[in-house]
Amino acid sequence: MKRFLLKLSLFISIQLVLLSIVLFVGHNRQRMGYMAAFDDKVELLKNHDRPSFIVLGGSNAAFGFDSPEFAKRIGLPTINTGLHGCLGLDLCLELAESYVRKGDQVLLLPEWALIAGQFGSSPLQKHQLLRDSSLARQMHFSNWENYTKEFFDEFALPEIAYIVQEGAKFRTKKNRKEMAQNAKRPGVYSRLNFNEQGDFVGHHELGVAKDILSLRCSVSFESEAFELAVKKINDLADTLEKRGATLYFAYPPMPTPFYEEFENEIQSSHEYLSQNLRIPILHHPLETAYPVDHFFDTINHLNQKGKVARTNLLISTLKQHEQRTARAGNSFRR
Amino acid sequence: MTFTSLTFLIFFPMVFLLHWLGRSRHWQNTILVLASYFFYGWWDYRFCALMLASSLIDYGIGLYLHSANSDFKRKASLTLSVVCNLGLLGFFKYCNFFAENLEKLLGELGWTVPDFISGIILPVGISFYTFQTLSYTIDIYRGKLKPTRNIFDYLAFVSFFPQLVAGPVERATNLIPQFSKPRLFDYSEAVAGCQLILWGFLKKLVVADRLASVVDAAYLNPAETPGTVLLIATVFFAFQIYCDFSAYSDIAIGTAKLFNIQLMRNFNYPYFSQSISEFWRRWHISLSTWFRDYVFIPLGGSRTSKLRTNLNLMTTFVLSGLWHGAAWQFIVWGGINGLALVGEKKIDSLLPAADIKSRSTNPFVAAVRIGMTFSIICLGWVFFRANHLNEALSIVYKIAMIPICEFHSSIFKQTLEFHDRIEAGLLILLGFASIEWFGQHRIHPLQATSSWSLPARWMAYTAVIWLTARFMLTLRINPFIYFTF
Repeated sequence: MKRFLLKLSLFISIQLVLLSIVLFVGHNRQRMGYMAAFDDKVELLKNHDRPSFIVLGGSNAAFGFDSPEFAKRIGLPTINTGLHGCLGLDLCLELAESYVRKGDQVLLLPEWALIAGQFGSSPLQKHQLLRDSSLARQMHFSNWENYTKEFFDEFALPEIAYIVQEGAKFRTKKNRKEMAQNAKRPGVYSRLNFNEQGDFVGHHELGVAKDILSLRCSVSFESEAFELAVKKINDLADTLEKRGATLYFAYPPMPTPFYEEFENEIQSSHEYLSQNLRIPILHHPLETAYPVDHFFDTINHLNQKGKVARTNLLISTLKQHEQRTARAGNSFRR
Repeated sequence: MTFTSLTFLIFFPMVFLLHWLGRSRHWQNTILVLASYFFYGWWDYRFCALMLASSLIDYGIGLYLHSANSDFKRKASLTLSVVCNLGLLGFFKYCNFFAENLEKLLGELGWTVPDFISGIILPVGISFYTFQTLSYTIDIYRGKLKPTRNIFDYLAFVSFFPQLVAGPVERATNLIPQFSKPRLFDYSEAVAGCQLILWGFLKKLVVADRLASVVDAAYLNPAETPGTVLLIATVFFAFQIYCDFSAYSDIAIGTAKLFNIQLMRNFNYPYFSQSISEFWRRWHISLSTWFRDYVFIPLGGSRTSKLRTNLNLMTTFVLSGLWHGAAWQFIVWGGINGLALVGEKKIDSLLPAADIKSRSTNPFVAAVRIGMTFSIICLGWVFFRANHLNEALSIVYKIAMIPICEFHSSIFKQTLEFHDRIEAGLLILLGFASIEWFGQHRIHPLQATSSWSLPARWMAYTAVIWLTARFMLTLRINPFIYFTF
């Protein structure tokens, strides 16, 4: 027994040393995937030192918002934190709660599914989505609440395997250079295809990449899910107001044929949101219903043409809103 | 709790150390019983009560049966045991099936089935431990076994965690004597156990789960999947289920060896079989022999007329299908295997014995026989994997139509959608099949390292561990297939 335990301990120690080396290499390896942009976006938020305009949302915000143009015309540095709808509404709001400061203006651009609670995952699934991000990894593993039964039962071993696989990838300088070049190619969903303000720009030259009408789309109005989303948004608005920041809301884009198909649901949703959200809604959903040639590869991703149209709409509606509130001498809040 | 989880990798060393802290049988069995109930309760604590109830019923019946002084009492108590065990199994496993069919039937008359009938949860491993407790009372009835009076020995036999939820289906005659004496640590058994565990992990995490990604994608929507892809997916499924299930058995047997308990071998390179009967001697051996001993032979076995023997074979296989799941496709799966065996016996009787009954040493003949056996087994797997009977029939039809409908276009074009995964799957499959082919004279291929020097052995083990970590899927580990049975 002693001999067995001694040998086994020695063998396990060797494996643990190897594992530590690989985990260290794997953990610190710079990643270029699309979701790795989360690190860059959080860095932008952390480091903003003067009042800025901050965009929250899923990939509709990443693909369909022109931050440099917006900054130029509104006169505020702009940060686009939009990345992926499946990260959920909670994470969007959490980012705002953690990093928005006095004087910031925040625009929430959620996808329909994000409000309806159809996007968004458990903390573990979110972490898996954000595996490419070392910040997300740190956030996840420094939170004891994430060490759940589910984690130990289902995800811990795949998680170790993931880092091992990352660490075990041998990359020469040449490999890394090639990878970076590939990651910068137009259309590639990668961290390197975001601009300095956090907008995805890798699709600019590509026009329409898919038959948008062949994609699936659904909008549903479920009062329970909307009620929950509205409560969370209103709570954030209160927190930001106390901090001296302002929160706005605007609708996601949608191809016109789908808009027409789901007009009733969209109208009901809009009515509900108009009545219950305590923050300014910048426009009617119809205003972001665009022809299919404004979209890139999904019903949420605008191409450059769509991006310009939507940014112009948001700038003009925001300005109109500011003028109205200035005239009324009121705060932005309803 | 499943073997392929960090929870188990933390749980097991603790149980191992606690078990060997004491040298008395009472200590060791108590630790094993407590650990086993913890292991089982990790899924759902309510399952523990069910298992305890099932165990206690058979413990009591076993004692009564042994002391009963009349044939009537013995028969009555055996009947009670069979009714209790099969009743329990039937209620949890087949209620939904009957409710579904009843619902369809009554639906046509405009009636409905109450919800509580169709919403019953299947406790994990119930099919395995009820068969184990059944074998206990039947063996006592047959006089092959004396009942154990020590409740902890008995509970350890029923609940022994390595084989509790997916087998091997152990016999009381093999396991109870091992629990009835104090166990001493055996170094070579422990090393053999570790080797088996390593091999099992590699099979499950690398081969089975990788192949599963192609199988799941193809069987998700078979109506829109080309026949060629379905054919490849079916072959992949054959290896997926083998690697998945045999990996579980390997880990179970290996884990048991670390407690110096010997479980029966469950798989013996079944896909190298040259006939269906040989396949069933090498596949899920513990269940096949259970059905042979407790169903086929009591029905009369092969010592009756040919017609009756064939009927017995069919009954045994259909029941074996039904054991796997309460669905028509499992019954058809059992039926196909039964029919194949009946057909094989018919051919056997027509040909000279030397030609067919033994394994051929001629490589060409052997390859043809292995190929034919594998094809028939794969036909059964289509029904086993499909979501329902009609789907299975349409898959078989699509595969059969490949030479007519898909022969003109390139196979690569047909499989383009799955191309990457199929390519990786084929590489894994070829690598795995080659290792098994060259290692088939051993219990498992890693056994070859036993004669190597220590550094070479450790390098081999390290390679297996890191290959597993390198090639396993990183999103989540698929549950073992046999957990659903």
